[in-house]
Amino acid sequence: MVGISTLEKLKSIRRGDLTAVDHIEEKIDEIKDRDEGINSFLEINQDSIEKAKEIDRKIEKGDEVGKLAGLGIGIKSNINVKGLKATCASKTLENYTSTYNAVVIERIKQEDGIILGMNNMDEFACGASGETSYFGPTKNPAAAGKIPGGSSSGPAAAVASGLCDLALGSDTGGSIRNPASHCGIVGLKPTYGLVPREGLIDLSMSFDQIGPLSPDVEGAALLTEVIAGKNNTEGIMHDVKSVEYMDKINPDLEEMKIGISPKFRELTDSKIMEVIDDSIDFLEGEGAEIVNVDLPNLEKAMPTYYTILSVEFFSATRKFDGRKYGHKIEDVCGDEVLRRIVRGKHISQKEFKNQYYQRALQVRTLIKKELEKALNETDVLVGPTVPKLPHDIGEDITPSDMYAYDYLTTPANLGGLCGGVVPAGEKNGIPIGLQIQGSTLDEASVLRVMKKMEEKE
Amino acid sequence: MKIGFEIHEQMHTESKLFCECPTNYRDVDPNTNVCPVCTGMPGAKPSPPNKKAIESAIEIALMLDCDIVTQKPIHIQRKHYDYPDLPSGYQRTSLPIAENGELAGVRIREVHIEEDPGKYDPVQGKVDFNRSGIPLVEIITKPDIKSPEEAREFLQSLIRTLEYTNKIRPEPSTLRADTNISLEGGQRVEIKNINSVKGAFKALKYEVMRQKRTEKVERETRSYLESQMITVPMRSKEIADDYRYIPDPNLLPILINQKQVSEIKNNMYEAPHLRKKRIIEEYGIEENVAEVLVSEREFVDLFEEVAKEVDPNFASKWLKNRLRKVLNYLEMPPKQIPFSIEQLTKLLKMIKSEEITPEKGELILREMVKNPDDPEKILEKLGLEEMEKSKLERSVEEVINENEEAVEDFKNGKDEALNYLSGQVMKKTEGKADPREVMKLLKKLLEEQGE
Amino acid sequence: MWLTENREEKIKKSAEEIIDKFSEIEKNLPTEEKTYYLLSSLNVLRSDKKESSEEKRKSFRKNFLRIMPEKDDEGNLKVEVAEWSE
Repeated sequence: MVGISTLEKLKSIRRGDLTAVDHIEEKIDEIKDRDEGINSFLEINQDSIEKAKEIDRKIEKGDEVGKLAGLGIGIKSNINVKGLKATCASKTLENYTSTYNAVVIERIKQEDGIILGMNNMDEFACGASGETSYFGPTKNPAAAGKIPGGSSSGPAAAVASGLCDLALGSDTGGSIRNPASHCGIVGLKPTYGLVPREGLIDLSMSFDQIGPLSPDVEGAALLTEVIAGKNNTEGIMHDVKSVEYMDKINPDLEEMKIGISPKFRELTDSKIMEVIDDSIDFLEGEGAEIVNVDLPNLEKAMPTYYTILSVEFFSATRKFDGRKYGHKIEDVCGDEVLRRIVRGKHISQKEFKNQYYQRALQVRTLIKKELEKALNETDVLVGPTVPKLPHDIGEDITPSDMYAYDYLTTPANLGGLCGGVVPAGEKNGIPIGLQIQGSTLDEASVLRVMKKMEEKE
Repeated sequence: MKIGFEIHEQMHTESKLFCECPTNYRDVDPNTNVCPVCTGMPGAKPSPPNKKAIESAIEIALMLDCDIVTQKPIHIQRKHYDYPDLPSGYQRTSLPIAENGELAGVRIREVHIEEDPGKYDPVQGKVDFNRSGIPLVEIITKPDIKSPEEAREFLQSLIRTLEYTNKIRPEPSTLRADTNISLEGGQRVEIKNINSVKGAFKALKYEVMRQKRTEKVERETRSYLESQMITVPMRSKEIADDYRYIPDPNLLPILINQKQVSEIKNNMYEAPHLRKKRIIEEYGIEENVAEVLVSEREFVDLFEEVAKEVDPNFASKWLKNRLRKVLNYLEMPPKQIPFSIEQLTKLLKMIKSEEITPEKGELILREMVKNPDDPEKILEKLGLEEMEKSKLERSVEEVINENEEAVEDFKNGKDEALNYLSGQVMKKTEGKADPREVMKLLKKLLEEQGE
Repeated sequence: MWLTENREEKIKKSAEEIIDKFSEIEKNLPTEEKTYYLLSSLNVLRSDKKESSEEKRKSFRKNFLRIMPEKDDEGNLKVEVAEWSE
């Protein structure tokens, strides 16, 4: 079942044209056949076929089935799935079998989604390339020899190669949007505080958010509907009980104001901007009004982000002391993880706090205000996802060069925006994604523009 | 000498501070009342803080005459250090919820809330997380205490005050204290691992002795070893140099509003220092009497009940001197008193009106505590009714006749002999006589004899 | 084993780069209020009910004990003995 839309797949399964068991068995077989060359899965869920059988039984009986009935879903390895290993692609947690389900997993199961297994990622989500996994790098199925992006490298590659129907990733500074762009698929970072983080292993608590990767916009919208909504046993959640997008994403752009900033062009490779400009022309042709917005401090978001993140990541990793499970993190982790811990440890000292952490929280306010102002004048902001094309896997690149991938995605995490990525074109066979950012809780507008983009040739 | 304290007490709630696990950690097997949050599982997120814990802390702070922080959001911070009983590698602890209090002449710097770590047995190398996450109130004093004796009194006073709220975990005591002490102009030494009032006293006594015979007292942190009643230096590894405090990004700050505080104030039990002030004003009783009455809330409650019908001055003194004595002897706390207010009130009225003697009153009281009943009935039961005058006269006469030597002594000016004779009369009448009547009669009859 | 002198030095050095970058960019920016939280609500509190189900806790306990590197018969987690203990 290649090239069939998510909604079509669901209908097929519900009608009985295709049984859930056949569908899932096919997916598992494909993973066994093809994933060795991609390395997008770290563990396969042995229970998945059983679950598929249950769903088929329900369908046969004529019982109601959930929104995701029969779909095979990949889960990034930093999300707890009871009984499977949430390794975060690190030796630290290589033998940590999850003792509980993340709330998003409970919700997926409730809607009859089938967990296919745990996806590969950058170690502890510290990366944008998919190369830092303890279990080996993930390949980009859409661009041979190139990095798939990260840190949700596994979920993106699995979706791009058709090994799963949908996947869950996490985005702290671009980790869903970045690989969605490089792999030529759809990704969405929901508004911070919309999707429960209970069960997501922390990278940076102020920024982390779980979101979907999907072959199409409707799949992303559907999965977001399932996982979003207030969780009462969590402290920081919007007062939103549930969301509905499917009826709101009719791709009608009349009267929609789309903001673009000259800063995007300043920061981005011209090869990428060609594709972006083309997309914007398309959107304008479809009835949207293009508005120029000012984002004078946009490029300051990235260093600010890393300053805050390092302090929070240092704090988050104190529990990995090897006593209750796993190993002591500093003993076994990779370079980038250690780099962030060391940096966080250093700047969270009493004498430096004002200089770095507290100051960064101030700059965050500045950037947040700027973005809010821009979105007051527009409905969405549209532009590139990454400033440069993905490098070759294994290429020697400095930490600073790696951080540079995050220039265009970190602002949304700092400012509390939602952001989606949809394929916009390609250069030399390398996919390029268009990023659409919206105000807090305005996923509907973002999805609308994304849906429209699906109509572009 | 300057002594200060940092005191931790568990608050009495059904569930833990940041998760819904039950708090009865002593009643269950190790690692039973646990969940991903209080065991530091990867990805676990704290749930919003327990409302009752916050309200209890506010009430405790009001008991200590503190100002509640109402004007600004109060962050819950992460205090990072490495220890086996800390599942997440940090402890969640709030900024002050109250400041500037006072108790028994000692200033309270601040009150805040935090979560209890798990229970680590350092000798056997094992950890039980049942206790991890239980809400604690921390009370920090200024170094206003001037001696180990004062420290002991202060702690006793503090525990009594905390018990007034009924918001801290009942026995066995969950008090944990760190103390700091500096002698005249010397360096400040901190002592940890104190779990009782006695321990605090012993630790401070030892420290004073140690510091006096140490030439150069270093600023350090020491640990109190209960079994040996000494303090030893704590390894630097156990003392974190920098806790790297940050506001917990997973918990929104708390903002206490004045309305909430007023509500708690109006519904809470009146603090002992306020109660004392009020009963002195309202009932006109003496200060040292009031002090004893407010030592336990049930005791002062009892007083105010009986004071409705009995002269407060009389009642207060009687409770302080007689009832307190009987209760102490029986080791019975006021909350366990079995007789009713009506019964006590009646008894007091009987004594005040001189229907019975105070001594008889005490006898009836002792019986009332064991077998609560109408004091009139007990009076009958014990056969304590007023002795007939003639019967008493006869007993006095008999004693005079049976104790010639004592009578001689008295006539020769030895007044103590009179007491001896009086005692013999009491013995003969089985305590039923009124000692004052006995004295009067003895004197009268002896004088008459002398004539 | 991982943390050789060389590696730690290299890591420390490269860790500082982005912080230096931050110091550079923030120099001429005005002071602002700090954004600690994206949500402006305060006092999200929970009532003191014992909602945690015993079933759920029993199941978690089983898993928790199962992944412990070392435990004793009663279910305590075994860890290091304190150096200063008598």
